[in-house]
Amino acid sequence: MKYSRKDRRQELFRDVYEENMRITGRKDSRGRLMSGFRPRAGRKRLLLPRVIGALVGVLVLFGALRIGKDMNGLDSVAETSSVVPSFEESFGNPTDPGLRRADDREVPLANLFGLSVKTIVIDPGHGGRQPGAVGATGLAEKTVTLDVARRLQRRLEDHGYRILLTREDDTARTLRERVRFAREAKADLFISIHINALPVDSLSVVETFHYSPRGGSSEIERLAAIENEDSGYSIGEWRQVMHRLGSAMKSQESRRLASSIQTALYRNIRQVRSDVVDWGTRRGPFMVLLGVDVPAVLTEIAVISNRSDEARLYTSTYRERLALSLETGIVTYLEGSPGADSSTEQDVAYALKETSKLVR
Amino acid sequence: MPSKKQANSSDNDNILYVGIDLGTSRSAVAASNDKRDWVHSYVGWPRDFVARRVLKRDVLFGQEAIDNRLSLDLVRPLEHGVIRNGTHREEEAVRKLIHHLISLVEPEDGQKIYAAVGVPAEALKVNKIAIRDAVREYADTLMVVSEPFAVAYQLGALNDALIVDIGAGTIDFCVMHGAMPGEEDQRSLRTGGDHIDQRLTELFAEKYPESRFGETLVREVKEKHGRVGKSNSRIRVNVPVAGKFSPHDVTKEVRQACESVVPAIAETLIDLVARYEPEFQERVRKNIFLAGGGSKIRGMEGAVAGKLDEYGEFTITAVDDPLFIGAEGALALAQDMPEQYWEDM
Repeated sequence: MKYSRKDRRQELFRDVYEENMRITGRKDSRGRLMSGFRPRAGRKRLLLPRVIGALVGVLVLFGALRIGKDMNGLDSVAETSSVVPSFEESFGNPTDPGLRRADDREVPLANLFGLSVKTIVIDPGHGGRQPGAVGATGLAEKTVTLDVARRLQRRLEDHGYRILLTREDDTARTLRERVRFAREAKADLFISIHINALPVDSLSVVETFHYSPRGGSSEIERLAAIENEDSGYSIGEWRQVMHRLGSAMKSQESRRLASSIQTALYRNIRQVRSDVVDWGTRRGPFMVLLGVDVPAVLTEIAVISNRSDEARLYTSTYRERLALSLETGIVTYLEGSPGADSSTEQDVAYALKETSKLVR
Repeated sequence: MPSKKQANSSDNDNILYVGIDLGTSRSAVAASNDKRDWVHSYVGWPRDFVARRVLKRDVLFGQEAIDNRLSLDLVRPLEHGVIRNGTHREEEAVRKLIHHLISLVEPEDGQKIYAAVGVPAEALKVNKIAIRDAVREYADTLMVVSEPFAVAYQLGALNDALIVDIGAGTIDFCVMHGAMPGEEDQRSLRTGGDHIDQRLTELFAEKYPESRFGETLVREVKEKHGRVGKSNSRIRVNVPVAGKFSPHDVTKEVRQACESVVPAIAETLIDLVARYEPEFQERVRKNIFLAGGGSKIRGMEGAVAGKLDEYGEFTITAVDDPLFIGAEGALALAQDMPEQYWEDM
């Protein structure tokens, strides 16, 4: 059927109108709510595994805290996840700031070996034809990640670091291209920024992943499979990459960087929204983290399927706050500056309480 | 050309339709009472009580703000097509600027204002709620659209066309195929007019390290003499060296800086067009329009077409009235929009 010019124009008016109604999340003239969260294909996450994971995490962490208290007040190492700490993690220094004592700060790797971090590569998730998660009013993950990355770039440059972005504009990059970019830039750190989308739109959480070759929970592996879509790697190449990952140091440092970022993010966001939940740091086999040879993390800084989060993400003030949080986390990791280094036990208790609400 | 409602018809007597083009460098306004105006997108607040006493104003705009910049906290609220740093000051500057633009078209007392605001494509994605909030205070009802779309509307190029809006902060690309352009129909590059200014400053500093080229002078040189391609005429500017003004030949540097954006424009055009069906590609190739301040750079359309030679024939046209076409397009859209939609919005 062919449309007349007049019909086309009417359709355009309707589109403009609907777009504007979506901005405010109001109803259209037919009373339809101009919203409807549109999850990207394949990105939808199931709540049940999350809840089960959280429950197991709660039990593990609760047990860890109990044991920690029994051991003359020494806090034990745990991540707020369903993953039981490994031998290596248990015998290392406490790494999760949420469980670390104030006088027990670690010496940063850079200081320990007299190494200096010069180049940080920031990876704004998705781009171009890959919008990532899309919120109810049409805000796309790729737009926010790029904007926050640019703000973070400006902030970190003020500290004298060389900051590069894997994409400067709205273009698609495969994970392989992002990894190659980081390698060619001789990155010393790699930070991948993402926005979460969850089937339950009342949830607002922050979480940060670091690579661990042992992987995380099955739920995280499913998430990693989604984030690793279109990686551009063949299986043979992937094996080579696995071989390259010989250094436990990368894994340890990634975990410390993730902890520092997660703590700063959660603390900062909680100042403006008290209902944000700290899902902590977790390990996950994300291809983009595996591919680079330096400490690397993937952080999910907001939940776009949450209407309140999405509304906040529209404001530049909030995006600036997110950039500030990431800056605090990264600089704290690099320079060991006090201030945003560790959560208190109350923070963890609060997170557990909030997480347990999900279970009910 | 879209058919406009008559501003003096009885139904619309008490409504003033306003179209605004909120740009990184310049902002323009056009209204249904046939008034139109523009300002540089600068907002300045007196630094202290002395400045306020001298300037006799709480806030200054545009050229006046630039001229008095030493006495002002000067803010250019948009950068790279979005509200700059997200501080309250910058969001307040957007509010003040929009209020000022509306006042320039002199609405009558008690007249309702229906405003359509065209914003850079990036801002539409990132700042649309902030911009809506900024306008809401001064308009009875409003809508926000992307600048390239407003331009397309004014040109009547709603189908089989591609708009390239070369702004100061971004270069926005928008394919029109008879429907509201979606994310996949649009692209945005950060190499806009500000990028050319930056490149010019670098090139000037390399060639004349002793001379001082201020930000305003660099922009003026670009706007007055900007060109791509060969030309026999020379570009000379008077610049102070150790306190004494002397002529400087900047012909080559101006050309080089202006040409620096051409490859990215050509590549993005090809990348965007190539995504459509061959038949549609053919039609779009003959309907490419350059808009925005950057389209005034002499020879730009020829240079882009030249860069695309190897891909076949492209017809690229620079629009006639780049300063006002976005505001006029937003106004036309505002006037044509069915009343029931306005009421809902």
